[in-house]
Parts: sequence; structure tokens; C-alpha cells
Amino acid sequence: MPGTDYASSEHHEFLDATTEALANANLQLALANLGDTLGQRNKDAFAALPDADALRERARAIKDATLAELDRHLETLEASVQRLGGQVHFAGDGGDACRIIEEILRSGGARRVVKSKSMTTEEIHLNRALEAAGVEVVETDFGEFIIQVAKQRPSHLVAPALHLRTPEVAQLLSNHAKRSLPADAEQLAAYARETLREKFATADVGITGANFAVAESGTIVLISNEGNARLTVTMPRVHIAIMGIEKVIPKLADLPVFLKVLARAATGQTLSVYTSLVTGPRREGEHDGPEEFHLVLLDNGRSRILAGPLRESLFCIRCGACLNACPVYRNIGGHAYGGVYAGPIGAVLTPLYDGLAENKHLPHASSLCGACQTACPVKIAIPELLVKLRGALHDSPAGDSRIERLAYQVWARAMRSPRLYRLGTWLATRTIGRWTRKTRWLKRLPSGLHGWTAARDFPAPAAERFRDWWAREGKR
Amino acid sequence: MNREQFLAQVRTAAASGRMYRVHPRPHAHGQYDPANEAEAQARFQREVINAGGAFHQLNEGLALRDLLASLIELHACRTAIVWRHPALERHGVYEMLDELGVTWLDAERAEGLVRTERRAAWLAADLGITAADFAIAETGSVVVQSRRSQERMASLLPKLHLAVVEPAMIVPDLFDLFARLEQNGLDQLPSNLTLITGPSKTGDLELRLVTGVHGPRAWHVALVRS
Ligand code: SF4
Repeated sequence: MPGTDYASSEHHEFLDATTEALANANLQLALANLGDTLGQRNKDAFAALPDADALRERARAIKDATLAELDRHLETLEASVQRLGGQVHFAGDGGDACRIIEEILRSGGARRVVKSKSMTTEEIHLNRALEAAGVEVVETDFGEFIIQVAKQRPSHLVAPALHLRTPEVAQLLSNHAKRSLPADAEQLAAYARETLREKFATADVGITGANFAVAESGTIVLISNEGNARLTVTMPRVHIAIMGIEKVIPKLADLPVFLKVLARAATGQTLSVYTSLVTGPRREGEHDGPEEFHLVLLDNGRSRILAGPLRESLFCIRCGACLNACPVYRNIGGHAYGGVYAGPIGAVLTPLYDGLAENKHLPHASSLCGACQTACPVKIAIPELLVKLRGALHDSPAGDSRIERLAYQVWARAMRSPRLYRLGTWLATRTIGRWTRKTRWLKRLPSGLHGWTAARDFPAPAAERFRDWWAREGKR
Repeated sequence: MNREQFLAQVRTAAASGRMYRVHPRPHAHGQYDPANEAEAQARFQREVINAGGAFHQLNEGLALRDLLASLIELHACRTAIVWRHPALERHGVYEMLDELGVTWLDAERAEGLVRTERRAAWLAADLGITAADFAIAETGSVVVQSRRSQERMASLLPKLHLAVVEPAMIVPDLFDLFARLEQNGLDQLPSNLTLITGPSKTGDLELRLVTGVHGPRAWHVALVRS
């Protein structure tokens, strides 16, 4: 694949992280219900929506066509935002974006920033940069607030603190409050409300991501259930929105197509509680809303992906449905993936953004069962993308070991030659097949291969080949 | 990287990755199309309740007064942020609030306060009353657009939000809302247009539903005949 960084290095962090995750009882409890709740609600919501498939296909078509002329739509978006009195900034990478935002804060003399949940700002490590510049950054989404207090990373696209349980959160927030808070979701949320209201009322700048941006009208779309995104664009004097370039859609009429599938996929709601269309700064005579509006357009590797075979990954609208559907995610949680984006789509995006060689286990962290693609509101062919990544990995120096390569060569050779294939199956049935006639499963493969059997059994070859059985029984 | 380099890079990538387009061919899809107004209203009611709201079907202003009185008592409301809106005038909301002893603040009254007092009054309000620009039957949403004297805060800061909706505001489907917005013209889009579908919610603690984490904890929709 063009441009991908194949610097070879050996990383086993993913394997260590999964082992740890599987042994973490709290995490396992936190993940236990994900499939029955969010996963099931996704299925029910799509089943109840007439023509759901046509809508998803249409959402895909809009993404596909928009990406094909992405530069043009970005220029239209820029012109629309400027017409409304907003400013547009172009950030080639995360460093650029952080510098641009720091500069806006500095010129306005901002001391305190409130943020609503944005994976894009996680991606560029904005909080770290702003804090280093002496600005107080406050995450206001309840889950993100918990994560910030805990000094951790989000583990899920839409429920960032999914990996934590209530008593742990009570402990964390009690330390923050310097008084003891009960392990009760209502009261912990009330503490967050009270603490964060104060921050909203005194913040100079609000920073948000953008779920969508409508090119023709310059409208930024913000979606949340809590209302913190609304507060972020209601109270502070300045609003800065940062978005990946793939978030642009050409027309206002395109928006309902995505709105119809996004919340259904994420949580099974028909719509999230608040869907805000933000079109420029506040107008003459209005009493709330920002006086100044900035839009930061972020590339950060996206144009590289746009040029390559994994282009379809740019369709992602970050709903989290593929995480909820994934048997791997539901067992290991988000942190094991190591990147900002977790789950099936994270297994695609993290190698693309952070390097394939450094994340060579991720494309394999999938059984390719296809549940992610079924749940995805824009039907991204995630399994296919993972296979493409596996192929790229195989072709790269960081790919398979010499022994693996040799094994695959032998295998390929045998599969191409009927004679060798016959010999191979004869040998297998005569030896292993006969030895395991009773158990039918191999409990432990010899060293070098025992990774296969460490956590599961391996099916043994039959004691008799099909061709022999057929030669005997087929004649009768 | 400057603007020109940025856009040039995107342009080259969009063109050179052409062969990786997926070309979906969507078939036609329908949208919610109720047989009559009554059906649309019934759907709206169902969806408001599904979203965690309280729905009140009221025949005239007097019933609205009773609703207001009971909400104000139940939630011990002393102050309110109120939109200025013809529908609220029509149903006599401002007089009712006076009668019920609630101190209310609209844009005009807020302008009489100095900046800090104004902020404090807004933040302290117990009740927010708005009308709506549209309501969507299919999703149970109330659509509010920001304008002078129709503040965003009214549906956001207080713990209780009451939206007064009239039957004529209801459109059947989400697509109908966007068709109407387009008809009105893109230059008519307000600085903020919000679709509200339920009380403020979070599931961030073990996916357990908690309401009122940032915005209103209780969301009441009154459908009032004019
Ligand atoms: S890949 Fe699809 S399912 Fe996964 S987060 Fe993105 S849009 Fe949602």
C-alpha cells in the first residue's frame, strides 16, 4: 500500500494487553452486557425502520461520491463558513492543529477551555498540548470527565468510560471532590453536573468536534445525549470546531439520511437527544451562543488513506456499533487495541494512522465473522479491509516470520499438487487422525504451534479420508 | 502546510484512489407518511414518551394553566426563562406565570440587568418554557431555532423544560423537516437549530440511564390546539 510506514519492529503489547484484559474481572463485568444492550438495540432499531437497508446504502453512496471530490467540497465548506463570519484553518497533521488552536486561544487570552467529546481531539492529543501551554482544559461529557479525572484513555467511541464500574468511579470522583461520594450513578452524575456548570459559566472557549459538516450551508452538526455539546456552544465566547476532512457532506438534504441511521446504530434511539445544526457565530441581537467561530480542518493521514485501497474506512461516522457487535471487543475492551480508535474499525484505523508494523496484531484481532459490517450504519466492509491489511502485512518486511513463510510455502505447494495433497491427507489420517479417533480434538500442539491450543482445542483430522470413504461407500 | 498545499494533497489523493470507490447503488426508500393529522399526532405522542418525555394533549389555554400550576408546584419552580413567541402569547403563558407567582425572564427583561446579574439569573432558573419551530412525528422531536428572544438556554439550562407545540408545527418525517428547511432557503438557517428528543441523558456509567446530567432532567411537551 502506498505510503504506509513499514518500519519493522517487534511489538507484543497487544498480546500482553489482551491477556491482562481477559484476567481483569472488573473489566469483564463491565463488558458483559454490551451485546444484550447496545448490540441488541442496534438490531431492533434497524428492524423497526422501514427500508433501513436502502437508507444505509444511500448513506454509503453519499460518502463514496463526496470522497471522490473531497477537495471541492472542502472549498465550498470553507467559503460558506467564511460567508457566515467564521474562520477556517487547514491542519496537515495533529501538530499543526494543536498549534492553530493554541494560537486562537493565545490571541483571545483564554485561560479555561470546555470541551465536548471529540475523538478527533483525542487523535491529536490536544489536551496535552493545551495544558502544556498553560490552559485549563475541562472535558464535559460525563464519561470523558471521568476519564480525565482518572487520567486514562477512552475505551469506547460513544461510551468512553465503559470499562469502569460504579464503585471505581465513585472512588475517582470522591478524590476529585475531596469528599466521599456514594457509588450511585444518579449522585455521581449530579456531582458532574454541578462541577461542570461552574466551568461552563466561566470558560472562555468551547471546543467541539463535528459529526458532520454541510458544505453548502457551512453548518456544523453536533450530536449528544447529555447536552454538554450544546452548553459548549452556548456559554463560551469563542467556539472552535475541529473535524477530519472526511466529515464533510455536500448538501443539507444529505443530513437526514445519516441522522436516521446514526443514533439507531449507536444506541437504538431514533435520534440522539440533541442534534444541533450550528451555522456560524451568534447573530445580531442574540443573547447566547459564541461571538467567534473557528473551523479547523484536519488531514493527519486521511488523504493518504483516501488514495489507497482502504479508502472505505473514511466512511466511518464513529457510531461505535461495530465495537458493540464484535466478539473480540466484547472480550478485551477498548484499551487493548492500543490506539485512539478501538474495536473492528480501530483495528483498521490504528495500523493506518500509527503504522502497520507497530500494530501488526490488530488486523488479526478478528475472526472475520462479519458482525461489524452487519451492524455498521454505512455498511463498511470491515472484514475485507482487515484482510487487505493482512495482505499488506504479509508483503512487508514486518510480516510473517521465516518459519511461517516456509510453512505457507509448503502448504501452497501441497494445495497446488493433487499428488502431494493426496499424500498429505493420507499421512494425516494415518497418524494424527488415528491417534485421536476417540477425542477428535487436539488439546495441545507441539511447541512453536502451541499458541493455537493455549486457549482452545484444535480439530483433529478425520481417521479416514473423504476420498477413501467415497471410493468405498459411493459405489454401493 | 498552507491551504493550497493542503487542498492539493487532498485533490491528488481523491483522484489517485479513484479505483477504490465502491459505487453503491441505493434503491428507493420511503418515509413515514401518515394517513391524516390525527395519526401523525398519535405517533408524535408515542415517540415523545418513548424518548423519555412527558406528553400532554391540551384542548385550550385553560388546561395549559393547570399543567403549568402542577409542574411549578411539583418542581418547586420560582424562576423561569421564557421565549418570546406568538404561540406563547396566544395561550397566555406570560399572564399565567405572573398569576402563579413565578419570576420570569425574557430577552427584554434580561437586557434590563447588568451582564453578571443576567448570567446569574439565567443559570439559576428552575423552568424553561419554549415554543417550537417544528415538531417531528416520526421521532418525537421538538425543533427549536435560536433567534433574538428565543434563546438556546431556555431549553438547556433549567432542570425542567416545557415545550408548547401546536398541531400545525408537526411534520411527519425527519426528511420533511429538511425539505421545509430547504424550502425556506439556506440563508434562513439560524445560528443554532436543535432537534430535542427527550430529556438530557447519559449511559456513561455501566450503560445505566441517568437523566439530567447536563440539561433538563424532565422534558414536557404540551400539544395545544390553537
Ligand atoms: S465502522 Fe461503521 S459501525 Fe464502526 S464506528 Fe464506524 S460507522 Fe460505526
